[in-house]
Parts: sequence; structure tokens; C-alpha cells
Amino acid sequence: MTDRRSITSALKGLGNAPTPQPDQAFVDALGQRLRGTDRFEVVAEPTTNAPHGVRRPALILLTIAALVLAVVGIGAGHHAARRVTTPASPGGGLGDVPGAAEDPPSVAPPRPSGPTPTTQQRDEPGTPTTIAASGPADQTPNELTLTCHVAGPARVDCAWTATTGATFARYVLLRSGVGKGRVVATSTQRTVTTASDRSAPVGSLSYLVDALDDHGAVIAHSQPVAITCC
Amino acid sequence: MVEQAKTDPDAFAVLYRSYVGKIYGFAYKRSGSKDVAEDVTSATFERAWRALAAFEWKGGGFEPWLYRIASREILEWYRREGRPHTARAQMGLRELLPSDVDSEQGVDLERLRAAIATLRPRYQEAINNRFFTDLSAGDQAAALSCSKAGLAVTVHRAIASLRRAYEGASREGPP
Repeated sequence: MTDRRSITSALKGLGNAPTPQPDQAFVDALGQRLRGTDRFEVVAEPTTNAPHGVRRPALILLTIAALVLAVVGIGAGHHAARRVTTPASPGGGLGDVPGAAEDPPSVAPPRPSGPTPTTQQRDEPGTPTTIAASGPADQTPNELTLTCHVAGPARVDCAWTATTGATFARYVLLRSGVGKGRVVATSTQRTVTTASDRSAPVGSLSYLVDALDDHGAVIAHSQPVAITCC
Repeated sequence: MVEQAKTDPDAFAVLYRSYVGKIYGFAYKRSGSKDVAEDVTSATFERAWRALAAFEWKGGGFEPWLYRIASREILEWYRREGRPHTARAQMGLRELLPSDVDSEQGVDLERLRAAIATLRPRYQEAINNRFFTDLSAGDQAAALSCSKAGLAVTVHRAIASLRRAYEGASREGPP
């Protein structure tokens, strides 16, 4: 007969037992596989100017309309609606440094001004269809420019441009690349646009800053910045 | 971050990096096997990746949500092929715990693990969260949609149910 105390004690023993970390090769391979996993039901939208609830047919029509307007010269300054899929990226893996040079983010990265390709949701597995859009690209409402530099042993200083987003609630500075990805710093003040990572690990790191609204939605973000620490 | 990860694979990568160790550790403690822990971890994140778009911030948040998926995967594994005293599980057990812990309590830990998988889902989740994760009491309660007092009652009942399941399995003897 086993009493309750023995069961509870055994559960505690199991729960408190030392646990090995997963093999790095396993972590990297799984990350790679996840990156290559299609997820057709998910279409990125929050970093575009497309209004909520606007679905594919409407977006295609908007895109076509923008093209027509551009051709007849009326479309100057008009923003074409754009939506971005989450295409499989065989070359990139979650085990990689997100946003590394050879693996740019696939969702609405900030871009310089000028004509920008528009990516539609694809119907079949394969390469996403890309059509040209006229006018300046519709970007994340506010782009942030992030710069980071090594400021000492295990220290990386970062600075970014302030967002002008009306719904700003906070900045979040993120780091990935070595060990677990983590939030390095947060700031709820729009004008506080610097932060120091004082426990930066040695290796290739990637930093990215997001501006979030009250609901945690991204209203602006930077390009990932790669840096080798220190 | 979770909201961003719904549409941004790079954001999901950060989440993945943040939680893969925890989910692996949880699965390892529950199964006592590295092989099973890897299988469960893989299935958990693949399922989470596909289902993230439908994720809503309730019941303790993202981490308990991941644990819940992992719990279901472990349950599925036990249903599929998890028999007590398999050689692989035994090896995993020896990796995990020194034998004296097992003998000190007089509890067959592998049989105990298998017995957890026979409980009602709510009891499984209560035991998993209480003993195999580092969730706060508040998060555990939120995950079960109850108060902390309610959580204590649920855990109490779950352990009682587990004891009965374990006793039943012990009477049946090894397979």
C-alpha cells in the first residue's frame, strides 16, 4: 500500500531532479524544421497598413487598383496595400540568428523608399508570387533605426530612433543568437531610446527593437542588427 | 512578443529559443527518456507553430499553453507506446534519478509516470503544472481557470486519484 505522502514525495523527487539541456544539434534541427514548415492559415498583417479584416480578394483588388492609378499618373503618393506571407525559408532556421544577413526576416522588414515588391498569399506550395507595386512602399507605420556597438566586456550599447506611433506604449529591445533569446530592456518612455545590454554573451548576437502598443502589437520595429560580442 | 510571433517567424524563433529548454525539461521529467523528450518537444513546437494564430491570451498565457500542448503529446505517447518498464524508459529513468531516490520512497517512478497519463486531463494538468513546471501558483490557477484555493483542492484530488491509479497499476503487476 502506497500512502499519499510517498506519492507526493515521489512527484517532488521527479520534478526536482536535474534535467539535462537538449542537445544543441537537436535544438538547431528542430528550429530548421519549424522554419521550413508551411503554415498556410497564417498570414502576416500587423506590420502592414492593410486595415484589419481586409482579406485576400480585397487586397488583390487594392493592389490592382494601385497599379492602375500609377499607370495613369494618379497614383503618386498612394500607398498600395500589401500583405506578406510567411513563406518557407529552406535556407534559414530558427536555430540561426534571426534576421542575420543571409536570413532576412520574411515579414515586413523596413525597407528604403521606392518601388517595392508586393507579395501575395500563395495558393500552392512553392515560391510566393511577387508583383510590382507602385509608389512608396507601405511600411510599418514607423520604422526604427537601431544601432548597436560593443561598449566593453559583456556590454553592448544600443540606440534607436523614436517612434511617432500614436498608440505607443513601450519599447522592447530583444537579443538572440547565443543561448536563449531574451528581452534586454524595455522602456515605456517614447524619448528613452537607448539601452545597454550588460550581460551580453560572447558570440554572434542579433538585436532588434520593437515599439508596441497597449495590446502588445508591434507598431514599429527595426531591422535586426548583428554584432559580435565581446 | 507572442502577438508578433503569430506572423513573424523571427519572433517565433525567439520564443522557441526561450522555451525549448523548458519544454524539453518538462517532457524529460515526465517521461524519463531523452528520446521521448525530443519527440514531445518536436511535436509541441510544431503544433504550437501551426496553432499560434488562434492563440488567445488567457489561462495563464503562452507558457502554460505550451505546457498544455506538451502534456497532450506526452499523453498521446503513453497511449501509443508508453508501457511501463520499457528498456528505453528504464534507461531514461536511470539517467534522471539515482536509484536511491526510487527505493527511498518505495515508489516505482516509471509506473507513477504511466499512472499520471491515466488521469482525467484536468488532474494531469494540475499535477504536471504543480510538480513538473516552474509556473507560479497564479499561473497554475489561471491555466485551470480557478482560484489558488481551487487549485489546491484540484491538486489534492489529483494526487488522491493518482494514488488510486498507481495502486491499481501495481496490483496488475508489470506487463
